[in-house]
Amino acid sequence: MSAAFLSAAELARAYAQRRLSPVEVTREMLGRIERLDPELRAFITVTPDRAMEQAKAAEAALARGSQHPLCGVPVGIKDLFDVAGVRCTAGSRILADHIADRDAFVVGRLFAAGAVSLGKQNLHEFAYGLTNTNDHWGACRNPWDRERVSGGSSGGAAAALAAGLCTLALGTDTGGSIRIPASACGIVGLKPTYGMVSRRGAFPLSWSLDHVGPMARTVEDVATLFSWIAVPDSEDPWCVASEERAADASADLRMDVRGLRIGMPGTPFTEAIDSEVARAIEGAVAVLEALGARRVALDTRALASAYTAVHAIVASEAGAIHERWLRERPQDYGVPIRQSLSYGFQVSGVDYVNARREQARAILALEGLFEQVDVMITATLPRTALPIGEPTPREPATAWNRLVSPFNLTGSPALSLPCGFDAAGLPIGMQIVGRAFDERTVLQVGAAYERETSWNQRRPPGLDEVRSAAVDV
Amino acid sequence: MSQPSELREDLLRRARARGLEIDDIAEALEPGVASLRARLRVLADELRPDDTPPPDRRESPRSS
Repeated sequence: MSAAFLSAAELARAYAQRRLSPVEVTREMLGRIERLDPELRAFITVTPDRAMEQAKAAEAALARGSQHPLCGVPVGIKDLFDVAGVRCTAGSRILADHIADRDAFVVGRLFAAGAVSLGKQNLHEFAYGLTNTNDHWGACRNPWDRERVSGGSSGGAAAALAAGLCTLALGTDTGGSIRIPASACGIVGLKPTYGMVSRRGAFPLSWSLDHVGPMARTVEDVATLFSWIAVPDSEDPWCVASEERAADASADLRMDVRGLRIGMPGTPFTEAIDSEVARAIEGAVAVLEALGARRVALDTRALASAYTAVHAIVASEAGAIHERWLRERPQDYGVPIRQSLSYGFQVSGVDYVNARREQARAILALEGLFEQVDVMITATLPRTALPIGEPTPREPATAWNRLVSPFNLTGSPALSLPCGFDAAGLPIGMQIVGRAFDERTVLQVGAAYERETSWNQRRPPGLDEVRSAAVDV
Repeated sequence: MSQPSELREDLLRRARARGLEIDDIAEALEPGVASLRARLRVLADELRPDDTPPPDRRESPRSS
């Protein structure tokens, strides 16, 4: 019985029934990584010894009666989260030899639950980019087409999930970095409400926009991981999580969507969308309408400058973080990130403050829109996965992340999940956006859609593994 | 490489003022920076005096 593509919920049931053990599952995952990752480059550092130790500990915990849904579940950790004693590169050469001395908050939560870390996953250098084409650690390849990007910056997590190299993963999202690779690789990713998950121990890109969130192959798994990591952290002054909010998030996963109002945005979310992507989104909304949801057209012109504000804020804050290294070690950066960071020194203090003022306007505008609807649905990406090497423009009309980054500015919860494939066999993602702190409704709509469809059951070709239809878990 | 423009000279001057060398990427940066600055100018014109940055959206656990 292969565990490669089982969900965390299925694994937990198999463990409880003694049909699988964390040690054998971990061994299988490590074997798959050894076989498939030299081509995919989803991992920067694999930690097999630690993984087997944690798997044995999880097995012992299960034998003692642990029923934690994450106990013994193999996870991948984006290589900008600290794991004590393990190299944390942030996808860079600058930090190639940096060994963390303490676990990031969310990593500590995973380990407290008995999860098994397989290693540190690839990302765009310092998380500042959309493709995960990494000059130092290799371009992370998309399992659906190895000549395409995985998307970034949390590309290693998404590629590994799509290829069955881990069951759950931790990502970060500053301008779409969870949702972009989730969409490109056909998996599920949640950018929670700003501040709902502690960022302590995660290398920052932009404090005003950085979010930590869960990635998985099912909405249920994303909800389970979110509920476990979205808890208060007294050492992160930005963290606004509460036990009640976290527990609430999964409460409505099995509820239907009858009567829910789905907002369909206009400009700037509808221009220049690939026709196959647009058709898939239309089809997805039709599925929800058939389930009893109601479609409401929204005037979203007030978010037209959101992309520009995000660019100015990220460039300025990232520039502040990197200024000293840029001065002292410019040759250790890849050219693309040096260019990205250099924007920060061309934005004035006045421009930065105006971008933050625009942030307030966008938050208020979106609050107004959410008086008319319960969630908003867009495509996650205007085009499916790009060929490796294709430039990613920064203009608001053409940028690959233009549909996702506005919700970093507003801090809204936003989920990406698969809703189809294009003619080339590449996954298409749908973005579901909710009111601040209403992950519950976002996950409810995502779960309802997922129950009605089977997109997340498809597997990339050529992995020599398929989920066994004979296994009833 | 094309002749340095006024904008490129400005990019280089700003970078050098902070001890940064961007001579090798300044030409590539030029169109993107020009566009971003233009859009930020439009944004500045749209904002009203009573448009402020976001209030503290964070309910700090230290303040509760």
